[in-house]
Amino acid sequence: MVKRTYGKTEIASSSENTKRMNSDEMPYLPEAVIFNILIMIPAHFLGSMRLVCKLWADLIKQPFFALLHHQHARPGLFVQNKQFPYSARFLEPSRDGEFGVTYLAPRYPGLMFSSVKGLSLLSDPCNKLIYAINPFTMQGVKVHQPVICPSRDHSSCGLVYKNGVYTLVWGFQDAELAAHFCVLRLGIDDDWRKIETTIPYYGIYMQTHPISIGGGFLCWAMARHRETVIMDTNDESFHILRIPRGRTTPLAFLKKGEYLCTVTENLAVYLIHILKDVRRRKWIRYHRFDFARTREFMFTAYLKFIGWTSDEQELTMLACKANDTLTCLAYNIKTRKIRCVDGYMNSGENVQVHANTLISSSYG
Amino acid sequence: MASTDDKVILKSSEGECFEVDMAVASHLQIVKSVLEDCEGSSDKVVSLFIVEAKYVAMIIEYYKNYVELKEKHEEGGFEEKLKEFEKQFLEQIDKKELKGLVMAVNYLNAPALFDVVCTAIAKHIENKSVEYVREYFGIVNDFTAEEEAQIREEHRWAYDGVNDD
Repeated sequence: MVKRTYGKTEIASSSENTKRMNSDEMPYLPEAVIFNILIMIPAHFLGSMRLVCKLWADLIKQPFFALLHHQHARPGLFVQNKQFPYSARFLEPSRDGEFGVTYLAPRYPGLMFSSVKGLSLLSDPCNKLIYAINPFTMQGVKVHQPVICPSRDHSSCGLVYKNGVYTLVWGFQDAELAAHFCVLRLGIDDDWRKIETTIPYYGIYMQTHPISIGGGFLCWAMARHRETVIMDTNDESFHILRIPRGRTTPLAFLKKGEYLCTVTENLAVYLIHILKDVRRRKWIRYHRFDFARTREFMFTAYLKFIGWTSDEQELTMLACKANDTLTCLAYNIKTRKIRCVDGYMNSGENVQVHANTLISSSYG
Repeated sequence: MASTDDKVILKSSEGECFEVDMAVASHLQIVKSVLEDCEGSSDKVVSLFIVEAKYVAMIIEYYKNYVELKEKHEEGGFEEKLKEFEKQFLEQIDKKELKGLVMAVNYLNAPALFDVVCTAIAKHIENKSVEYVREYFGIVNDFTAEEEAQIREEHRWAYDGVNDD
């Protein structure tokens, strides 16, 4: 037996011809390997992968594939013009983290206001409709707003994903400013079901759409009250949580991974808090971001936070400059560096964090 | 470092032998289970019947660095350093060889490297034409013209953003 310790030179010397696993003679990779390769491919390339052969088309068609594929999808920014929402551009991060642009023009019926696990909510207020669709495959359903809801003002809608079911939750305020809620499970219920619980007059702030976090919770931000209303969709109970005190009220409520996060500011120092445990009402101070120390600070009038991208490590935001131009920036909490994602945004644009997937509302 | 007891010999399909530290070899689930099965025996040679020497060498290089980096960066920073190394590691592998490597890694059941290679292949084929992908994997088109047209119609979202490669 020839004993050899491994060394780099041997890679070159080992090209003998007695190969049993020669790559040129190997017709097919095992199905499991193909599956694992395909789930790594971004959604918009999967269309052409379906044309390769029947096996690949079948693999990609499985709901199980969509679910696993979603776990590898990298959230990007979905940008629509508020006046003309029919088309959109999608800023999608590549593996190296650089954002590339894809233009999408399938005639979107409204503005995206929420995106949960690949499924998005688009609002069409004129026709009293909400679309729960996958904006990439355009598969999905349209839902009428609850009949009992008096108007689109002071109402909001959220989406929760749990155990294979997407649930829509509609909240609205009546003339006495008490808050009411309706739920509709996509693909299961035909109509909205009103929840008995109401939140009596509280000055609740129903104009912002709720944020969906892990465990089936939906959070309505009430920045003015320094509180958040959290709905536990498992037992349809409501909880009012105080949010951590900063010098100012929170500038933003965002979803970070499975958690709710708030951003407060004091003299260009931004504090990020995370709600670690809803039931124990436990917040932690997560990060301190000194914007004044960055190069961008000099030119920026104010920041508007969008959400977390790049494995939840980058906080993306719009920086409005003194001359009224908007730049999309991303701040990396690990490297503490800030970079420009898009220099040409305009104030008439609506930006949502969204991940392109093949998931549809009927998958469970 | 480790004594000879902590070494194991991996034998490629050509019969070439590689002496490897146990710490490295234990990342290969198949080697680990073989060694556990014949515990107590002095003969620590594992034959990897279907794996070519060049792939054995690559896999050992990867896990050798993996183990070293993990030791060096116990307090943190391991993931970043590993990513850096992975990039460098993949650069020196021919695109055609990735297929053979993924087969070998799949056979040896080495999860960390499996993900790395699958991602590399995905990255390589994702913006290529259907014809290129078929040729790369040696796949024969088994669609009839009608079936193909139907899939194209079903998936209008599959727009053409293809590189000529």
